[in-house]
Amino acid sequence: MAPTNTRTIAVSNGDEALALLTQERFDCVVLDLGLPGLSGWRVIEELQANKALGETPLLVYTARDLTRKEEVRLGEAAKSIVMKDARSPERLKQEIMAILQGAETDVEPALESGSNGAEAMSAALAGKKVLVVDDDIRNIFALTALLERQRMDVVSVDSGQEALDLLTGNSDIDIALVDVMMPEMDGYVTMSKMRELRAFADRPIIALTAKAMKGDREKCIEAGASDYIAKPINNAHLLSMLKSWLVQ
Amino acid sequence: MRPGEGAAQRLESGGTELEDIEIRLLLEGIRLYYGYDFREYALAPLRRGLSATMARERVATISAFQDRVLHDAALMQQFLGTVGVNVTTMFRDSETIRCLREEVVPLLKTYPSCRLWVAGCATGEEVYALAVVLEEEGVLGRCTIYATDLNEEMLAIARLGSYPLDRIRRFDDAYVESGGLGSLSDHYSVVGRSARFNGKLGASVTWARHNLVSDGSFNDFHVIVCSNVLIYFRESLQARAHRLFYDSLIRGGYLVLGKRESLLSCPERDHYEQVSDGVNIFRKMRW
Repeated sequence: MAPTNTRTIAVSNGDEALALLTQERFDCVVLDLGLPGLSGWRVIEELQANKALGETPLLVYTARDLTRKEEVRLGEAAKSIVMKDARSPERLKQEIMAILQGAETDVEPALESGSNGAEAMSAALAGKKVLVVDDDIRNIFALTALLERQRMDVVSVDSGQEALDLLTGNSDIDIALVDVMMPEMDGYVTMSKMRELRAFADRPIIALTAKAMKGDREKCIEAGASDYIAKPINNAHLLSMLKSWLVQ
Repeated sequence: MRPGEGAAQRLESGGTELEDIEIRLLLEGIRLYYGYDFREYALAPLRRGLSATMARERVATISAFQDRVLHDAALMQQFLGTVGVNVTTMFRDSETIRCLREEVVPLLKTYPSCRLWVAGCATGEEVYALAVVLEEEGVLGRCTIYATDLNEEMLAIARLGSYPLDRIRRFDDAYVESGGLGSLSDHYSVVGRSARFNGKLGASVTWARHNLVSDGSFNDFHVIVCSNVLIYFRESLQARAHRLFYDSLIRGGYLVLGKRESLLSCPERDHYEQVSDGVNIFRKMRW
């Protein structure tokens, strides 16, 4: 299963890894978080700070349980995270194979790629602060990329409670995108609670819903959404919707 | 003969030309008013459900039923339950659950967190069975289960996590056969004549309505379980659901189907590998 002409070089700490990476180009880096000396987290920061190194596909291999925050943070930097367990060698091998085969279609954004042509920069959106509330990390990444291209300031959280915490005593968010189907506190509850906060009583909220039925959409409006958009999200549609709500 | 029986019997055995027209009108009315699109559903279970509901409601013709169902949302909910949802059990397919426990869970342990989707969860028994397996294998804490169904009433029952005790007791053997590590009763408490599943199991589940016929992907998943739901779908609709599952699975994710189901109508079937002979668990290996 292993490609025939693969060369593996092992080093035992972060400094050595960084030194080697600056000298030679690698196709894949497997990084343990619990390193002696320079921690794995620091190594990742160093890699990301360096444009050339930041592009090397990274696999994180760790024995320590991660918090949700850590996982999201690592998800931005690494292709995959493999927890050490009985079947980890097998999974690690598959992940490395996927990277070496250049199979880069793994993170398939929930956005329609075909509509990207219609995506022109808009002055109406630049500088506006948008809150994205979604437990679907794919969608957060895709939306962040799309909205940052419009020079919007994107803040994202992956639960309704975090959204409320963030909005309490924070009034600089201009508009919110809220996913309907989330664990613990769903989008309907989140939106109606957002409406109770002074900071958000009359800011626009756009509900993101995978549901296509009329009743589901009316439920969004009843819960406090200003508007709703269906997943998979059509980029051009979302941008024009944002514009229409922000220009008012 | 009670009103409704004659038409109901005829209907089940095929139906007349007029009844075919009435069915089309009924489905169109339901689609326009309630938004449920049954036009792509397999006709046989639809006819059976219709005839059962008509007999129960003592309605003589489909047109009369249409009148009732369009003006009575509660009857519509009942009808949905009759046509779309099978009575579910726990650990029904013990071989599949065993494979899940022995082959799938060890791989789940290599992810920092996992999302599982039970599509078409009906009254939720299989969801609790899945949570029991994950709990016993020590991974429930890092798993989020999304359990969806078309039917709001079914979800309300599922959310309670409380079932008739004598029914749950009947699943003891299947639980043991599927590799259960203790006793099924470790996972519920007896309240009167009901078995109520431990709060910990339900706390890991997000219940939501989702329609496989019209709704889209809402996350990416490590495991998708959809058992004995697609058999109610026509082939074109099965293909749609399979595309949705494929798009919603991570690379290396697992699709769990019912015992008598297959990937035959799955356009991406070449991208899956069967995990173990004779078990309907497939791993997305190419993409």
